[in-house]
Amino acid sequence: MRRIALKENCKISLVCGEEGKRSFFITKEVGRGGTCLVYDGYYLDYAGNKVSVRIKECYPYKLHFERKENGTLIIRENEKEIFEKKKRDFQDAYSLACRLRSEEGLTNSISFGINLYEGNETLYIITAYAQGETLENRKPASLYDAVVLVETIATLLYRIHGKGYVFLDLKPDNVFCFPETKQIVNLFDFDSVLPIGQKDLSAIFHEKRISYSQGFSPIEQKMGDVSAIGTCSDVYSIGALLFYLCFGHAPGVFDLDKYGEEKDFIKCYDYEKMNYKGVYKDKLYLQLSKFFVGTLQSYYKDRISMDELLLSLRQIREFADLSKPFLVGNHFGIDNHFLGREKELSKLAEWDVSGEQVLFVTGMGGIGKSTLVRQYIAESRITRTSVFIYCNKNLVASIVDDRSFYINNCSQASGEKKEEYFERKIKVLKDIVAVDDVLIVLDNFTFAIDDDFLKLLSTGCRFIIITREDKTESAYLSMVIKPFENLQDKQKLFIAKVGSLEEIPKETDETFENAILTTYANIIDRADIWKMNDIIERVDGHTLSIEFIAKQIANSYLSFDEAIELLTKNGFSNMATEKVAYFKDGKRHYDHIYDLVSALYSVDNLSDHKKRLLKVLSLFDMPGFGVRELKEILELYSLDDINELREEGWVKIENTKAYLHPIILETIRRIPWEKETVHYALILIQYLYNEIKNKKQDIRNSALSQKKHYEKVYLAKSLVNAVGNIDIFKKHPLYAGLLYETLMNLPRSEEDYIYMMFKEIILLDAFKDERQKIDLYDYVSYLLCQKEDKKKAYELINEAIAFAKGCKDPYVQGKVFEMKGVFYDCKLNGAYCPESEEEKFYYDKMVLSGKREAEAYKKCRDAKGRSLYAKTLLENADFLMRGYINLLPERMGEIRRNLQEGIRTITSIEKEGEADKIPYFVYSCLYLTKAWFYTICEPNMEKLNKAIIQFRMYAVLEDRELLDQIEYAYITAANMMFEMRAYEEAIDYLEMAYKECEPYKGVIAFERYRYEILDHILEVYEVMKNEYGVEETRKRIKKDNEERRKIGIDLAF
Amino acid sequence: MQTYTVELQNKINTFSTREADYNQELIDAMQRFRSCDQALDAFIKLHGFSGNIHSIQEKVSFIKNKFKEKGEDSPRFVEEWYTEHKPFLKKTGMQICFVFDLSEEETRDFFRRICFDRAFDLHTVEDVVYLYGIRNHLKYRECADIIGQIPKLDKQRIVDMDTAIYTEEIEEEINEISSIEELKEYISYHKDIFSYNNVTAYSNIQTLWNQIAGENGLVYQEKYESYDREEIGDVPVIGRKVRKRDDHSTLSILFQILGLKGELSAKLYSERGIKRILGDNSLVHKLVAEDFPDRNSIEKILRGEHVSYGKIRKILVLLSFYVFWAGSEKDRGGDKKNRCKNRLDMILIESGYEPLYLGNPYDFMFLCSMEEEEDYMDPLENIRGYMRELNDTIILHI
Repeated sequence: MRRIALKENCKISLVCGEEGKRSFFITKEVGRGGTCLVYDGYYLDYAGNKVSVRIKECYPYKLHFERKENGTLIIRENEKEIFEKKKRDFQDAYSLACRLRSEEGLTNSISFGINLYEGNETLYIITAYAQGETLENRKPASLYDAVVLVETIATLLYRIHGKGYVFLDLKPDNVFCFPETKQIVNLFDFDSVLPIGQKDLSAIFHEKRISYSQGFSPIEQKMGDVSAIGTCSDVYSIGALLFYLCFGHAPGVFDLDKYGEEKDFIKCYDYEKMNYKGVYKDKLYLQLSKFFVGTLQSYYKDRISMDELLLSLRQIREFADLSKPFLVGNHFGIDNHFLGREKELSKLAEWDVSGEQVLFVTGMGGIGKSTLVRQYIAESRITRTSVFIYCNKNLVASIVDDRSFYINNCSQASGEKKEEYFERKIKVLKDIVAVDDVLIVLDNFTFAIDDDFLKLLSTGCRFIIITREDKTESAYLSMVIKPFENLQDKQKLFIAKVGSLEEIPKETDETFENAILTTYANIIDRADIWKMNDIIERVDGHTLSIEFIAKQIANSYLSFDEAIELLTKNGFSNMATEKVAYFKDGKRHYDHIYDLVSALYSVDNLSDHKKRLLKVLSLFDMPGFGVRELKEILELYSLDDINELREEGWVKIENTKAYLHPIILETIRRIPWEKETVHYALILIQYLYNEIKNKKQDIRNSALSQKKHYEKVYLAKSLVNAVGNIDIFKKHPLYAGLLYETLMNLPRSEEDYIYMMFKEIILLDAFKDERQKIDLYDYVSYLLCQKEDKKKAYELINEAIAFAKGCKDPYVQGKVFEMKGVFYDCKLNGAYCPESEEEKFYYDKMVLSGKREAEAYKKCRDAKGRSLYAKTLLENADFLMRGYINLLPERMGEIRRNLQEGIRTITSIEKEGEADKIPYFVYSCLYLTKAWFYTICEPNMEKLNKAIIQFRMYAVLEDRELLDQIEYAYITAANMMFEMRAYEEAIDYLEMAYKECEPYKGVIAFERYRYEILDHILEVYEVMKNEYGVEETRKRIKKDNEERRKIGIDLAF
Repeated sequence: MQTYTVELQNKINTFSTREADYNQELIDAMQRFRSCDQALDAFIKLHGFSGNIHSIQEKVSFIKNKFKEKGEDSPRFVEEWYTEHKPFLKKTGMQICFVFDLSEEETRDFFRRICFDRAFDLHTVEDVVYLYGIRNHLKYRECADIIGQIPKLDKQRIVDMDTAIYTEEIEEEINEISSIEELKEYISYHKDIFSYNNVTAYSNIQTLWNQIAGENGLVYQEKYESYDREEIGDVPVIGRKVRKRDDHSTLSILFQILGLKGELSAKLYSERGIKRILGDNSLVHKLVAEDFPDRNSIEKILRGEHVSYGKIRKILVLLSFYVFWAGSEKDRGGDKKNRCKNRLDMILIESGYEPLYLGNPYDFMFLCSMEEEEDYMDPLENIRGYMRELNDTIILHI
């Protein structure tokens, strides 16, 4: 029966005992429960003030009422008795809530019931009004917030249990959250509260007809099994609530009753589907899983206690706190088909307990070093954070690469050099190691043991270093991985890849060979066993080779005899077993493997399509290319071929990305390109080109999309490196286009690479047009100026001048002058009121460049060129305004002309419908100039504020690096406010700038800013003659300096 | 009604599955189950019958008079309920509930204990009307009239979980309906939701089946650990990957779950079912045999086709039971019996079915198998032993 709410704005007259009559006014209905309707409303107090309240009307949904015009509820005759009982329950719930509310620790968490009233033939509870929403309508924004909230609720229920009650109706609708804090919540709806341990509990339960909420109530409540109902029932509900917040739905029956070993708990829940995306510690997932396993049990005795629950939540909260840096470990699954290597695993375990910091794991390529170490880590990863880094270039580059070695809240800042970041990362790592065990695996280590290496060791992490090089003579422990020692292990490996080891009985008195014969009777005979042994011997037990050949045989690409013939022709003759000779002759051994793999490849066992796929995959370094994306881009019919390549041992797939084993990759790269394969590669080049080019404007939308963008950029970089020496690609216009976009999109920290490849692209000279070329010159010269490499910048600009001489496009000329201007600006280093001759020289040069730039851009006919003309005018105006202040009156005319001309140009482009061609930096320049104008030339606070809002907005839309943004959006605005003598506002902006720097503590560039900002704040307070402000700021400066000293930063001013 | 289940519980407490005559004990217990008419006796006693409980005539008169009092036509075979132990249809059960003025809760209880069925499937028009009628104190006749005015809807395939409207949602909406006209409008407007039902139940069965028969499923793990190797139909082959999972049929999986193997099961295998051992078997209560899980029903459910409630519920029980005792749970310490019971109840309730009831012979079979000391507990083997006993009894008598 539909319940009819009281009308909005209606007045109800209610009576309460001694208090007598009071009128309440209904604002609106805000909710419905099983027994009541809830309204927002108000009453007028004795002073005539409106006092907001919440009004709860007893109106059970299962009974049948008629609502009269005046609001009265008329119950059906045959339900009168039931209704009276419902009213008594309603009153009891109110009384209980009042009683509990008066208990210490519960007062703030139970909605304040003002009084109980009668009216309209029913009862009303009036409670204090509070601003906020239920958890159903206002879900926490982060996992941390969600856990804090649940912890608050759990603490509250714990206190209620302490008073002798269980709540039994925990669900999002019954939790009221305040916007100001997560530390306090309100519970309402005490209809289901039961006393614990009373003799007549069953009677109470059935009389009250305790209901249950689907999804949040345990089975004992659904079944009415009173003997099982207790605090454990609330434990279940708390678990269900956190589950709901994490996954968006209450736990279903298959989310319950997980059991097994703790280390397997993580697999019980699909965290990919969790609402709260982010990079968290492994320990978080483990603890969260333990929590769910401990609470979401059907059988009440299997649930954890409230004490254990609160402890668990506390731990989860700590791990969910993303403000603290932590190392993000790698995930490896245990390979259930991992064979043998018991000795090596046990040696690793021995090393693990020995306390020795470093272990070198050496051996030739393809022998199974990485696999061994991964297996070892997978089996023991729960006890610490483990990171697997595949080394390239040099140690510093490998460590600073945030893609493979990621510390939460620690990333390379804009303008921060690699070496600086390396030092900073080392410091952060030390802090992490102080509270956590960290194991770092450096794979493919080919570097010297130098200072950088020692710095890394100084962090206190433990290291397993995988290398092909002999490190036995170093000061560190090393372990050499050789081929399997005993024949049976080699045979097992072979059989495992050919058929399945599961077919072989695990325990048998028979020899392994006899067991093979028994299992594979009629298929394999004694002669085949001899051939298998022969093959194994010929490859000298080399792991990768055995695996490879076995898979080829398994897929009927090779017979035993063919494999033997192949090996006779290609591989592994005279392979020495002594260690020295092994590595002395190491290169030759690798060649044999390559030859072998090449031979296997050229046996034409693979379909053309598979060969093509391998070839394109060889273009990408680890972590590889997304499998699903590859399917889409190349329009593959299915992923079957890739899956088969994986099964056959060619391809590895980890975290949905496909990559090749380094040896296979090196081999495949040697294979000549064919027409269809080139076609595939070109599709990928085109794809990456489009992705990078088109995504440029979107990267500010979210950190995730920025991350994805950079993933694409680095894939492009890998591809460009892979095909850069191949003529077919080098001469293709797509290659140059991709290289160009890659260089223009790589982060500034890749400046060395950008400069190196810049030279190549200039040589290629395959630019789309002159503008593209000059834009690149401009960008690289800008980077060089930022890096303060003025010599190279100068050389580059001269090259650009030489190029520009032959160009008719005024845009090109304009760019050259722009580059010169930037160069002179760099030389000036901010001295816009020059004092020395040299400063004056560069100042004049800069001003002249600006004029020439404007003249050149003025000649442009297209929207972009004209907008740059506008920008130049505005910059000139800006420059004139901020130069010598005593010259300002003389310059006013010129300032106005520049400003007006600039605005006119922009407006006309907009009117022509080409506003989208105007880069954002032109707009930010416009508003910045206006802002200065309203600061210096025609002071006007209102117009200034409007202009500041605009240029700050465009500063965000532009692709500015963070440091630039802080300078631009905050410090500049503060400066303006200071000029206008709006000192409080100036301080507000400076404080905002300071806050932006906070996440980057320890980054030198940001530390400089923080210092400068506080210095500015001090200056402002001094001008304001605010002694308290001065004092406090001095304290802050002192504190910051001390912190810097502690982390070893010396700002040498 | 409480007394009856207490009696049953006392009975199973007294015999142990380790005893050699366990099966005989089980047979005896099976015979103690009251028939539908006996359950009805307990019901009418609670609802005003004060005559001679052994007199069929008096009982029949009582029932018929009740119908007359309420202005309803009495059902046709009331006497046969007693003389032939004929069960009554759901529609008749619902009439009884109306005539005896049962509340919603009491109606659910009636169906659970006497009909071993669920009272309201809110994806059927009739049950929606009945629920509304009970809540609003309508007469059965009025409900029948409303049902008569609504065009019949055919059941279609089960829709997927994302697009389905769930029973709980329908129940909430029924709460808001305040007149018969509104009810008719609601049904007419939402006719799509009445073209399917059992969405959650089917989804749960699918999940259980995946756990049993999916890759690395329980049947395969069990097979390689403890099952006879000769039962394995796969032959490993050099030169190609062994595809162990492809040809494992529903029937062979069902047989494995029930423990039917070896030569004596071969005949059942060839007949592709176990009807032979269930029908006319003194060891089997007819309510166990009726709607016993079979290959055809399981496959229909997996295809999303309609199957009776009784079969769905029995399949849920069987599969949940197997997953529990064949999986890692069996190695878990603590009170396994109650844990299993809770688990099965949870699955049944979530699927929209009644939890396990000792008075239901089928449920009794499973509950009974868990009545053993913790150290010796092997309920799965107990059920399998019982099935093998059924099988051997029939086969050896031929």
